[in-house]
Amino acid sequence: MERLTGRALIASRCAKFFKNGDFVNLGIGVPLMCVNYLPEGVDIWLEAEIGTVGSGAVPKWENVDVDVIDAGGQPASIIKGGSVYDHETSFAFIRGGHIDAAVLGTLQVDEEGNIANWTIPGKFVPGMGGAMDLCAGVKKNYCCNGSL
Amino acid sequence: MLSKVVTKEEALSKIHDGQTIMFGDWHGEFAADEIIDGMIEKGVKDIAAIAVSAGMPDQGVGKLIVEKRIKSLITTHIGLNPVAGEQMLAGELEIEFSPQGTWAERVRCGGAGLGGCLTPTGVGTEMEKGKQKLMINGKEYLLELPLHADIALVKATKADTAGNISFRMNSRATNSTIAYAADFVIVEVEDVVEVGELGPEEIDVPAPIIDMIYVKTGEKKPLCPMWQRAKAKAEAKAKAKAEGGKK
Repeated sequence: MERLTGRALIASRCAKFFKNGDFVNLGIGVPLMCVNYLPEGVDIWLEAEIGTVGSGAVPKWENVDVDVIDAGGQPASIIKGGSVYDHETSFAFIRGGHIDAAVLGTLQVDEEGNIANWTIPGKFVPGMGGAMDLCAGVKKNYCCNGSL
Repeated sequence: MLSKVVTKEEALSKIHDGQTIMFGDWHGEFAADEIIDGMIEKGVKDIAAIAVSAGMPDQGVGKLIVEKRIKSLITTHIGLNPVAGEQMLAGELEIEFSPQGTWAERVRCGGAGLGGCLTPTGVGTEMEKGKQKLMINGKEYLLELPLHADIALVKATKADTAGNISFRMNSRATNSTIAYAADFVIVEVEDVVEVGELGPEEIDVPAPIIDMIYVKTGEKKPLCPMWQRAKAKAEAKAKAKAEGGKK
């Protein structure tokens, strides 16, 4: 088997945290790569902030549907049994304790698990998007980060 | 039944300098593109915008930011529009960040007649600044206040002439949320049908909420600029790989 390194290694390790049937939210970047490394026999319901339950694989360009996107606005698909919701309901899933696990990208993490992920004051201020709500409401949050 | 279908000029006649405007979209996708272009052409400026993100420089509200027509923005994320970040750091664009779920509930409160919502999101962070904190059943919550606008600019897939609207797949984005939270609601749609063609279960926001329907004249479902760039990049990569393989 090919030895994984860097981002793929982090994503593959994170994917081992999921249990069969978990309702999961994955952030943009390395977190979303986790779906490529799900252990055998583990199927998850992937939530996307735009309001999808059952987000699927990235489609080929010839198959894209312009009305189906992921949290980052990129082409996405919806699995059989998947469904779409409004923005408030999407965050009711997140804040309401309905989601089993989330994987967040971060700028910095400390030993206690406090994360910095939305601002470097005066330099780079992307905003928090849905990250704070995930931290407030999801049962288990995992962070992907290269620097501790 | 009264038809709410209007021309772009009639829709733009309701949009003025200095208004507070909510933009329904997702990173500038599923936005009322032709009305936004019309605002740029008309010269509308000093807009207080409320949108889930700053869009992208060539998508959605992001286009108005690049043209310096937006004076303030209440949003959750500006990472895909570097121009918004530059204007913010230069003091040209005032930005208030709300966590995304909080933003959604503040807009919902504005449309639902509620005085605000209590959320655990942001407790223990910078989001606490200047906000009331309440202890409910032993847990701390922040009081987040409602958002309301003069105009909501909505994009929907389909409307009937009475003003009922429906969304296909993810294109609902923030569009249904903002439709309730403004004094005047303008909807850009891909298609309009006769009353009765949209069944009760197909209607996502009902006619009494909507004031104007504008039927877009350009391509109904174009690939957005971000996707056009990504597709061109993928095709160039595939081509280079194929040519490399022949050698």
